[in-house]
Amino acid sequence: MKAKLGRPPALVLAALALLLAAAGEAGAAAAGREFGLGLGVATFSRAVASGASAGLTKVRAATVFLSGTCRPAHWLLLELFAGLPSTNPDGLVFEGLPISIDYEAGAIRGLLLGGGLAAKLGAFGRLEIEGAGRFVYSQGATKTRPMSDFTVSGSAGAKPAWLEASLGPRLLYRASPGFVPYLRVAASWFRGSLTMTETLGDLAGREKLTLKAKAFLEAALGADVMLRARLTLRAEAGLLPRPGGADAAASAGLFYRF
Amino acid sequence: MATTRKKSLPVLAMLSIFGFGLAVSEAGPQKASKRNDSAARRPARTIRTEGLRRAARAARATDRMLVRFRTGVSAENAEAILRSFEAGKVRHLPAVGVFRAEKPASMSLSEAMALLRQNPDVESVRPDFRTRMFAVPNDPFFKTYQYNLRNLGGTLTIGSGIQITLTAGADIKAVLAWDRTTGSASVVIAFLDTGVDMSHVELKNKVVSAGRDFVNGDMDATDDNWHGTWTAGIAAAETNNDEGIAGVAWGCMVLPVKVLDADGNGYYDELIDGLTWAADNGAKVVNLSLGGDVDDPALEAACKYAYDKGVVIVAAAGNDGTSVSYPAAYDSYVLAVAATDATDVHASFSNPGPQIDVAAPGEWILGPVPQWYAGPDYLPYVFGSGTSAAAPQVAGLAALIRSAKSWLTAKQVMDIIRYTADDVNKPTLPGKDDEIGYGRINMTRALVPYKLLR
Repeated sequence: MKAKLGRPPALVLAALALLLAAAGEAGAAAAGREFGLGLGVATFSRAVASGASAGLTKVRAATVFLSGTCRPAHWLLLELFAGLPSTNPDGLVFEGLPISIDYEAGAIRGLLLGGGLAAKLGAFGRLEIEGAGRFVYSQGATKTRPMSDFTVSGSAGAKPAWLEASLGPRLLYRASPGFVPYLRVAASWFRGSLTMTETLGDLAGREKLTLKAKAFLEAALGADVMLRARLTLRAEAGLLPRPGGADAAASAGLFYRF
Repeated sequence: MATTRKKSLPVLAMLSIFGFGLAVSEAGPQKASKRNDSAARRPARTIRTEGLRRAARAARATDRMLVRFRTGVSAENAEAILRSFEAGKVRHLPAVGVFRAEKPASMSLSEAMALLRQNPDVESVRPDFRTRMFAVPNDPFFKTYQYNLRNLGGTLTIGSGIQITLTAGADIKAVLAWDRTTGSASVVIAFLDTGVDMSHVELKNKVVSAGRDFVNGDMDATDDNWHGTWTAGIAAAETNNDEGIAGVAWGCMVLPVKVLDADGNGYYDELIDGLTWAADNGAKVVNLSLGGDVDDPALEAACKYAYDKGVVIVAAAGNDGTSVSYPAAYDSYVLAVAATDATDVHASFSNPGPQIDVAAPGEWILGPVPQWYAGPDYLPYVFGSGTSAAAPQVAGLAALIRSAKSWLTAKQVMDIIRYTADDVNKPTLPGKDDEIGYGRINMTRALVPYKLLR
């Protein structure tokens, strides 16, 4: 794969530097504040409508991410994260090019940035309720493949991008200090695009397919498991029902507080 | 136009049609058509045929699956397992050792498959995928005689003791392409030729108007030869009508423009008039199964006029084995078409030259002709050969591309046809060559989305 990464790595490094710097400063000066760093993986499979096509195509993605958290007040948690996603849009068909293309070239790597917050809304004994929201933006590199079987040489390159946002309540049950299962329900919004550029002899074309998810509601079950005093494992699995089926998402990560 | 006529006439550039039969006699190749003797013996149809359905995209069933059991599990045990699982209808496919089972009503197909996979006797569970019918037309001669559209190999007997050997795959790959599009009625192919028999069953519903007759100076381009009807039918015959032949672009329409007289001859001025008139009257593609020997700036200007209006001009290269005729030789504006035979070999009569863009089968191609021409004892079809037969297949492909992608320019359509061809003489003449240009056209590659693979 010819990956054209350009500026995004600098953005990731800058974000991480900021997080670390903020964490260090906070550790030295801001008593009462809590910071954290995390490393995890996330994956989803979402059915999307593309362009004018009536059918649905599954877009799958898997991401390795680094996360930084800050709790400026006991009721509020802020999070920034960056990652390396691998987005697989197999099955999308580009009919607007001189030579139509059925993309079957597999996953495309890229970069991902996102942020989120969780605010404690209330507590009822061991039950707590939070409002949680987050957004994620993924920009893929261009994956270029040769177009063979023609009388002239050519190639086609695909570049994905997607944005996901969710907002909703999270109900936590503090079963013990080391184990907190939760149920998260959220309105979920997913939009994306896959841009295909084709060059074959004198022919050239570019087509951008817009991708819109059909599922708008997510229900996820998860748990925070304290492994050590400052080390927590979080795992979550969710379903996103839609007409004719359901999409799925899952994530897991280790988080260190300081 | 008067000026043009004065300019064209002195060069005595007679146009000639490029279709002829190749019934070889002691005198050599004859310029004659061959009636379809055996075609008169039409088989009785005892099987009902259904009209064409457009195929849906392949997909999996939502209510049934295919289950394979491990070796040693008897069919009775397998069926019992499926019954205990509360599967719906179960059917054994013994030849491949698989059971088709409907999912229980109480769960989804995914759940049912997951549950079955947990059974130690089950080797694999897969969804039952849907199949679909390809757009194979029901025209009786399509299966029997039109090797140019789908060549299954074997021998083709066309009457009077003439047999030709077919090579499987030496065709323009029409069937899968028709699954994408059979053409749009808004795309009109103009046939600048001897006219069109507008009462022929293959064409009566396909002509957009009576056209224009530049030979006799009226608005009735009825064919008084046979050649124009034949070429129009090869490109756009009414198809899937249980009758006769299939056309390449069966959903597209025909605009008859008569520029050749009853003997198949004409002048450049009539051709120039025909080209500009067709371009001004809605033609998106022009087929020219004709040509002359002389380069003429006015003729080239007419080609440029049509090309600049977005018209794809397809012209036969000529049949005398010398050089590419005009206007096929106007490389910037016209697709020059050579002929191949039923084995994908360059036809000996097909004119070579650097202007050749692509080729299509041109030997013993079946097409419609007026009944009066065929004679009362024959069906109104003839087998004929020549680059005249090859060109309308390319014109048909151009019309299908135009139907699928109306936004493309004429040059883009021409490039798609060039780049998607099969370089069938690659072992001896790799790349673009003077005999068949980029190669024999491939409709499937031109129209079916290219799979960009890992």
